[in-house]
Order: sequence, then structure tokens, then C-alpha cells
Amino acid sequence: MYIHEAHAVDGSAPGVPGRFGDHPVIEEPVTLDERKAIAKQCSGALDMSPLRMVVDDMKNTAATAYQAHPDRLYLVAKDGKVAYAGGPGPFGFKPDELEDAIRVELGMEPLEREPADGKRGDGRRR
Amino acid sequence: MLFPRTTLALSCAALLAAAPPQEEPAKPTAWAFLAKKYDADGDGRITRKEYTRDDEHWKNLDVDGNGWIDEKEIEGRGWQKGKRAKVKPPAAGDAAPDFRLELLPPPFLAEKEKLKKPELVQLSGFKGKRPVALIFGSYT
Repeated sequence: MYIHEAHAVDGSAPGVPGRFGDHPVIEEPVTLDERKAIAKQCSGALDMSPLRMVVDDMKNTAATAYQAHPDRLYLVAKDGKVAYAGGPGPFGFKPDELEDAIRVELGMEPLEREPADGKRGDGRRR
Repeated sequence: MLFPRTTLALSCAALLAAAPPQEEPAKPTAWAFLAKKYDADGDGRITRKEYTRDDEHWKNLDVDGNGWIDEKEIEGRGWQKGKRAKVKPPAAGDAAPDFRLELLPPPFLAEKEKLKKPELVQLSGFKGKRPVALIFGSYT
């Protein structure tokens, strides 16, 4: 889901060259059409196919409800409850944990892997 | 923005759409981007009058508040941590907050998208049917 920009050039936390990588230079979209245009650019540049992207509204409804800014991962179980709640990004953005949660949700065994930092992320429902 | 390394997410939320990768455009510096767009007289400065967007975003650019910006001011901005709202995020076991939002058209429909009504997706529509992975992020 595309949400409001983390480091827009005219945002309150603009990207700085060389800090956490070079960010694309993007102005914060101020209309839904602008937001959709940037989302489409993002989806194409990052080659997200075959995933399709959902775009948050200009009230930031989803980003606020999930405290998803700047990035975050969740898994919603079939029963409509949160099965996995990742930590706030970028440091809490852990795709491996989401993958494990998906495997559990689908009745599969988690993959064997070495913890990168010896810790597990918070929010796991197990 | 990062990606999940699993294709399992596909079975949860994604609708399939084949699309060729697109080349990422060259990244200009922040100043080059702004100057090209707003420095109408080409004098190396952008004044508030030249800048056509709103005051909120201008204040983020004109850090010293003198009414104009230049390359030194823009490229000299230090790193600032993003602000986080003080709202408790949903935890494991909580009911997932619902939303009804627009789904971008698949790339192969891009040229025709204006002819179509926006395609909406509602999270609660998946309840009882399948799990949904939510991957939030932006381009920067």
C-alpha cells in the first residue's frame, strides 16, 4: 500500500544524499491524482509486479490506523484479526517475520533461518 | 520501500497482473529538481512568489525563513527524523482496522485507466475468505 512519502523533498524529513541511500526526489503529493501518479511511478521503478498497489487516501486513513509511516508490515488473518504486527520501519520492517507469519497462517512450517540480530521482532502471535 | 521475499504474499492479497519492469529515471539532486521546476528567472534562487505550492511545504524548504531558497540551503539541510503520530497501532489479536481504498490499475491498463471507474478494495471483504498481507511504504 502506497502511503504518504517518508522523505519528500518538501516534507518535514527530507532525504539527504548518502543517508540511508539516495532517495528519489519526490514532492509530497497534495492531491489523490498526484499520489496515484507517484504510486504508479514507485510500483514501476521497484518492479512490484505482479503485486498491485493500493493507494491510501488523502486523509491517510490506513497509514494512521496502522501507524504505518514510514513503512510497516502486517498480516491480517482469515478471521479479520491481526496475526502479525511488524514494528515501525525502517528498522522494524522485517519481511522474514512476515513470511513466517504467512506460513503459519497457511498451516506451513516456518523456514529455518539464522536470526540476523539474535532477536525476534515484537508482535508475533505465537 | 522493501519487498517481502516470499511469493506467499501473493496468495494472500495480491491480484495478478503481469507487467514489464520499468527503468528508474535518473535521480536529480533536490536542488536541480526544484530549480528546474520553480526557478522561473534562472537566477539560482527560488522565491516564495516563484514557488507555486502551499505554505506548509514552503516552510519545509525555506528553513531560514528569509523568503527564498538556493542550492546551499536545500542541499545543506540535515537529516531530520520523521514525526510519528501518537496513536497506538493494532497489535496481534486485535481486530484489523478496516479500509476501503483505491487499487491502482494493472500497468497494461494504464492507458485506458481514465476510462474506467476506480477499482476499490475493502479489507473486510476478505474476512472469512483469505488472510491479507499489508505492506505499507512510499517511494522514498
